[in-house]
Amino acid sequence: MSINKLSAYIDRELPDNEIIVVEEHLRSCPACRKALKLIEAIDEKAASPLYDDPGEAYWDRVPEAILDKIGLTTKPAPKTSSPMLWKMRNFVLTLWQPKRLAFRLVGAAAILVLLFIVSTDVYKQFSTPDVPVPVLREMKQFVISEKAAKSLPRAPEQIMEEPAATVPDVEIEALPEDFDEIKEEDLLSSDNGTLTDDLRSMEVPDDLLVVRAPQPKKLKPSPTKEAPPIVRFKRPEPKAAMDITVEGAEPMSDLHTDKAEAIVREEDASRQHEKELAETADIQGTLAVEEATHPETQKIDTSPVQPKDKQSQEQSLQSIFGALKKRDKRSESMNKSSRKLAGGGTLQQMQSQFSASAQSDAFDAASRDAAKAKTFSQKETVWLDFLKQHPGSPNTARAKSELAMIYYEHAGQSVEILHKGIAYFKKERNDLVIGLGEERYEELLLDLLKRNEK
Amino acid sequence: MADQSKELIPDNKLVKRVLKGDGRAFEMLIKKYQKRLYFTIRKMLGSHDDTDDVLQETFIKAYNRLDSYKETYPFYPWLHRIAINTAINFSRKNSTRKESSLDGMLEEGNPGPGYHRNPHHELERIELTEHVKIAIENLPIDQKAVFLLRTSDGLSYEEISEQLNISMGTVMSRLSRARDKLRKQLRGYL
Repeated sequence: MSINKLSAYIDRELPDNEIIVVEEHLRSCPACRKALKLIEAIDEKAASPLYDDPGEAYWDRVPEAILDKIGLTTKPAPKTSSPMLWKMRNFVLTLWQPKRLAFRLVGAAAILVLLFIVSTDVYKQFSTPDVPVPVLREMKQFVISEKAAKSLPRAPEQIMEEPAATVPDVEIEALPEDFDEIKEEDLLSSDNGTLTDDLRSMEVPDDLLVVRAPQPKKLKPSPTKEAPPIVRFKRPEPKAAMDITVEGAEPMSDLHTDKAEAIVREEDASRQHEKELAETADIQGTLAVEEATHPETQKIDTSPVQPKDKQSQEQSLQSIFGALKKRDKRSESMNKSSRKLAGGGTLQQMQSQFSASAQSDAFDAASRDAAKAKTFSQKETVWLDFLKQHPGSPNTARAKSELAMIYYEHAGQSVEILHKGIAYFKKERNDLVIGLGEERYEELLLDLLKRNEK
Repeated sequence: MADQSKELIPDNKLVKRVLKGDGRAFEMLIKKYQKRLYFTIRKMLGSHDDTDDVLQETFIKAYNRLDSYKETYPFYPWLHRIAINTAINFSRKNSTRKESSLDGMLEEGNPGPGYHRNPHHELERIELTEHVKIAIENLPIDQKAVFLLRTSDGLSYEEISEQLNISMGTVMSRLSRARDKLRKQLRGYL
């Protein structure tokens, strides 16, 4: 019998019919029975514990060693664990297997290098030091100019849409580099919807203005309530007479203001004569005709003109005095026509107010009267009367000089005249310097003082 | 009482707890099966140190593959199969080791704790046991695995074929050859 069938017979792995055949053979074969007993003995011995128990210390140490290698603890597990996390954990554990450790380390190093490069590029993209300073300044100027333009009453687009006759041109200029030193609110000060004198008086350079729209020059702009009248010529009754109103802006220079004030003084002096002559001369019809013929000369108003510089101020004043000259010419023509109607007395006085020849006639008359006078008092009275009757006359300096020479020539007569002369020289120095000249004035005054010392 | 109550917990529930990260559950599984696996591996390998390495490696493999375990099957055959294959692989890797001999085994003398000695009978028992040990250790690992699975673990031919992933005929042939060698070696001692 083969050992193969005998082994299967021992293990009860043979079919039933073969088991019967084997058992019949064993009954007749002692060698096979001996082999069967030996195999059963070896199996029994193999099933027994061939090796001794290593001891409890070993059994306690084995779990600790295994759990330590796995990385587990005997603490309660978190409830959030799941099979998916288990797979992830296993994947991480496989990374540290000795065979794959070197490969994993190289891969991890490559990932770190890649992350470093990417992070560096991202930092460069989001950092601003690479942006040039001029570019940043332009960006800042653009933002501020946008704000300023929006805050201005009149946007550039709106101005451009208006007719060219009202707004001749619009200048849009770039901002200077030091724009950031100017406060934004300073640029926003304005009234009446335009850039006004408030803005110009801030000593802000014109080139700082984002939009600069020059004002059109008008002869008859609508008067503003805020602008106070500086010079106003207004004729008394009759109303048919010329009513000249001059309204100027503050920036007018002192020179032009003095001239205007001189005209005012002459005008006031003429009023007195007009009252006297108006009773005898009926020129109303002629003046009415003249007013209808030249209506533009009846009223000259320049108040809202707000020049932005001296040149424009000069232009505006020239336009004012140009209008005055036209009025003088027309008044002369009116004087001629009025002479024909009423004998010419009143118009002759009017001419003396505005023409140098008329003033010269009065001065010449006073000079003749003074020459005819014999005494100091008579001569003094002639010139005092002239100065009193013609205040603000262009010949005032000359008249004062004539009076001063009378004081000088008669200073030797009495101390009273000498003292009066010295006091007059000192009091009227400005006009005397104009009439006599500075050297002559000083010479005469010094002489009077020397006389006073003696 | 505590250990008995722990052993009453079904293996599949312990496995679920281990899958949730419960280290104590896996510790309970280790303590439950470590002795049986130890002696099975020890019969295959003979050396305590080799058995210790393979035993720990067996549990580590089982832990890492725990997600592939099917709860419908008993846990120990699944764990035993891992241990046998781990031991077979370990034995194949260390095939250069010198063959054990009866004299050498006696000289090593590794009785261990709790080993009660009776000078007369103990010598006979030691001699028979050591002869069987040496005969089994000298078997080829494939024959030895089938022989031990059948004799030590009591598995059927079908179970052995499943454990070792071999056919029933291979199991029968390997088992008959293993028994024939052992019979020839131990003929004079039994």
